[in-house]
Amino acid sequence: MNVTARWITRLILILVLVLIAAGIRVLGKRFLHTGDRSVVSYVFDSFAMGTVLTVKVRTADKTLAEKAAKLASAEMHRIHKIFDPYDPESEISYLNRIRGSDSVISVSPDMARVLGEALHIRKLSRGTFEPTLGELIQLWGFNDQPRRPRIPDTLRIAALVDSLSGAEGIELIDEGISVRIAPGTGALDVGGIAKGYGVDRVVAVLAGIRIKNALVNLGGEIGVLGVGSNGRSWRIGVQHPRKNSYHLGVIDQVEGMFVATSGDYERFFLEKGRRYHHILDPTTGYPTSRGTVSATVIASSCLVADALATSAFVMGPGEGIRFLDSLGVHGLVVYAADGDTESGNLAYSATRNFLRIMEPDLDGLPINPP
Amino acid sequence: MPKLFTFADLLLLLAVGGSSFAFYGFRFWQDRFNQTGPTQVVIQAGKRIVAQLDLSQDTTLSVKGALGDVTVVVSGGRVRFVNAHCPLKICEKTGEINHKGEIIVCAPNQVLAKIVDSTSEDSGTLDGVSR
Amino acid sequence: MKSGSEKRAEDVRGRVEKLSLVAMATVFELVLFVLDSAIPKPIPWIKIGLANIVTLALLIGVGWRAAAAVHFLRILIGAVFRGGLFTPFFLLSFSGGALSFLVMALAVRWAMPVLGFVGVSFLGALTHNFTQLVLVALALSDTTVMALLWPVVVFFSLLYGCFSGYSSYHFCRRIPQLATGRLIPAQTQAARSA
Repeated sequence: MNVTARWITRLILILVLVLIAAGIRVLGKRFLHTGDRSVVSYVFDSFAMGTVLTVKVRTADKTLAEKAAKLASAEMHRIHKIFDPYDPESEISYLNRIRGSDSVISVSPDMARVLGEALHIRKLSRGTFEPTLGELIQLWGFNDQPRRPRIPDTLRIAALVDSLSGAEGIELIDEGISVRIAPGTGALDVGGIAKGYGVDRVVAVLAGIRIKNALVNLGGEIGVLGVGSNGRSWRIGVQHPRKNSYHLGVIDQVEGMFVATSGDYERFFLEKGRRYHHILDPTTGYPTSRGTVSATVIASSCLVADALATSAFVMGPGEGIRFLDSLGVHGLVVYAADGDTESGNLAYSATRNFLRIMEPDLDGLPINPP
Repeated sequence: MPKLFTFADLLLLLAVGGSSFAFYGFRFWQDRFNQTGPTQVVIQAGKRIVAQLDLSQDTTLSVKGALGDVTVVVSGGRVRFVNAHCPLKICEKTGEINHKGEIIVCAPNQVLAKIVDSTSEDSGTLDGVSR
Repeated sequence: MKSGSEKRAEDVRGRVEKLSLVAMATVFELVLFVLDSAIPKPIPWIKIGLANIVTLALLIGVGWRAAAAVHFLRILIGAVFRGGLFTPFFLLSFSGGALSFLVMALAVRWAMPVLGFVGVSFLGALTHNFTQLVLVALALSDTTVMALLWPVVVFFSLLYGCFSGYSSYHFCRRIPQLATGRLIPAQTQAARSA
């Protein structure tokens, strides 16, 4: 072999060795490739409507994520400003002040939407869902700032229940552009479903600024866009009604599915061994006592899911699940097996389509794995 | 007899060694731009994930390593190692980390702390709870 | 012209020389191996590779067959010493040792003299440690922690490789038989001087 050939051989050999080294580096890089690194989950927590709003946005654009957070918070506050019965300047307070004057009042599109849905579900649930329990709710004090719930005087409760004609007297005119409220109608308090509506609105706002993947969680009411970090669905747990850091199972939530839960463990107080929670039975004026501990509904809007969850809670496991089944929504009702909500013996009843999504585990799974 | 250290040797060492460190540096630099809100730190001993802590909450955790214990301290939104039972204490000298992608490693003990965003890659975690 | 029996005698003595060479070198490597394990290191499981000093010297001064014999005998007997002959740890160190031997043998044959002692030692150390890292990661099905540690492996391979390369170089220099690149069997030398 002549000199040139020998040098060429050596050059090739060095190249080969460097390639091996490069190959080692590439292998290392491949091991490090734990996923699409350009998309990051941004999480924003804020306070809205008396509870925590968590917005998770999955995007590679940090500015977009921050914009999303700001818009979400702003929209939530806007909704709160409309539906907060404890804010004298809110639209709902205004409606409550002038109710009974029998005049026709024009309302905002948001109010129209919520009222319309509330009345619709009230009819479907045959009065179990009642949006005009404002005075009763105030009597019980669950929403006072600071919260001072107490057992009101029996007579006062009875008097209120008797006098209220429910939302019979609310009439939507011109597809809700205006409203007429007849005298004798109770004070409007759509507190629960306003949260659901807020979630719907925030999801819409995020979709509007072209966010592809997000999760909006307002105090347990959840709506999603796109996919989660597994590339498929968002993993949502259902709170175990009695064990704080446990959940009953995982719902694979996808876009268009909204989840809401009503539970007796969120706002309540115990007196003499009895639990008094914030979900009132319109016929008695007292917290429902049919043994329901929590009700979870998955529906095509959070507003509806919220209202139906409350209805199913009040109706109880048997009637509640039948009701949800008849509407074709997914539902789960957890109740006290022996009728005593404090004994710890739980059972559940669910619609068949819910069971296809999730099989509840009453022992509970830890929310944060060790 | 061949030489002790040739030019080719130097090239080889620089190429492999240099690139692996450039790679390390690049990764951290890249992750610095992907900042998130609330962040967490994942602490591993060997293969097992020992804990996933929120950076916003001050905590102290003692982790059992191959040679001894390593104490992980979360304070003021940062993570650092103290009282590590290892000879060189490189991990302690790493100081504090708080950006996503940064890690502190106690190699002899195989204890690792890395900053991740709240939605971790662990398939067991939930994105939210309906209550 | 040697007679048939004289030639056979030469062969026997040649083989005896070879055998005693291999035996001594193996013992030497074993001692180095035990020493290597005993020395406190910042990362205990990344070996300094002291035994490979001899392997490399043999590869350069004698030939790959002798080097291979010594190297693998050392791995085997070393494992017996450490009580891990039929354990997964043995498989780990054997794989690392086998691959690094292959890389060093090829490097000596083809990359030298372009590459020097340090370069080849570095490659050997790198291959050995990286193989072990990869195997451990695969065995535990956990690539993330190991993947983050591999530049550390590179760094220490660099360090230890330089040291063992240096040692091997001076080891060869001081043993004339190795320095000349050929081990001259004493018997042939005697025949020459005769």
